[in-house]
Amino acid sequence: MEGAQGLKLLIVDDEPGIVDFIQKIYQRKGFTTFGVTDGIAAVDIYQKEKPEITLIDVHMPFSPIDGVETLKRIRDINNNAACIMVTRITEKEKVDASRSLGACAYLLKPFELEDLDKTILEARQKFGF
Amino acid sequence: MANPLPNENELYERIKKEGIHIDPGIWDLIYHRAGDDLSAIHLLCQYYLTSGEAIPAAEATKILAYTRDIKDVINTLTVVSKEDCSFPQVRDDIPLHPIIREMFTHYIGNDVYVINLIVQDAIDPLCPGAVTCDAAQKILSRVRSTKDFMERLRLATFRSPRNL
Repeated sequence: MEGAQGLKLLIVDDEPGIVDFIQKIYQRKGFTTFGVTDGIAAVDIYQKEKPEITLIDVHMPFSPIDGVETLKRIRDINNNAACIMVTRITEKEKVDASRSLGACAYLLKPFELEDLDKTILEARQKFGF
Repeated sequence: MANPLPNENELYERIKKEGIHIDPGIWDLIYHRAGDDLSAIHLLCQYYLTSGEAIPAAEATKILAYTRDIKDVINTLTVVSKEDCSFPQVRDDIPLHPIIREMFTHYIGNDVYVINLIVQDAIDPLCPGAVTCDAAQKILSRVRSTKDFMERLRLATFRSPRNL
C-alpha cells in the first residue's frame, strides 16, 4: 500500500485469528501494527501508541467492553481519532451508535481483503495520511 | 460454489410467497459465529496467496477449526436430535422452517465440507504437505459462495412480515 510505511494500525477484534492475519497482511504492506482481543487493552495501546487508524469490531462478547464503548473511550482520548468499525449487517443499532460517536467508516463482516484495503485507503484520504 | 438446488428458484419463491421468516437472533448468531470464521479463513488464504506461497500445514489446520465452528452453528440450527447439537435450546425456541434447514444444510454444509476436504487432503498425515495456491483459490471461492448465499437468504427472509 503506497505511503503506508510507518503508519500505525491498531486492530481490535475478539477473534484472535482475524487479529493475527490482519496484522500480518498490513505489516507486509508497511504498516506498524498492534493487535488486541479486548477493548480495555485497545484503549491502553491507543493511549500509548496513538495509531493513525484503529479498526474496531463492534460485537465482542469476550471483551469487558464492546466495540462501541471502546470507540467512545478512544474518542475521549482523541476526538479526531480515525476509527473504522467492523460490524455485521444485523447490528444496525450499533452502527447508528458508532456513527453518532464519530466513527469514520464501516466494514461489514464477513469481509474480504479488498473491502478492508478500500476502507483503510478511504480513511487515509479522509484524514490526510 | 455448492451446486444450486434444482428447485432453488422455487424455494426462494415459496419463501417470498409464504412469508417464511428467520428470527433476527438467528441471523445474529450466524453472522457473528460463521461470519467471523469466514473472515478469518479468507484473511488466512489471502495472506499466503498475495505472496504466492502455499499455506503451511500448521496454518491450514486453523482452517479446520474455523470450519468445525461453522458446522457447529449449522448443526445447532438444523439437526433434529438434541444430542447432536451444542445449543438445543436455540433450535427449540426458534424453530427453522424445513426449507431453510434444507438450504442451510445444502449450501453452507456443502461449501464447508469441500473446504474441509481440500485442507484435509493437503495435510493428510500419511503424506503431509501444504495447501497449494490453487487449492487456496478454491477455498476462497467456497468462502465467497457461502457469504453470497447467507446474504441472499438473509435478504429473502429478513423483512418477511409473518413468523412461522
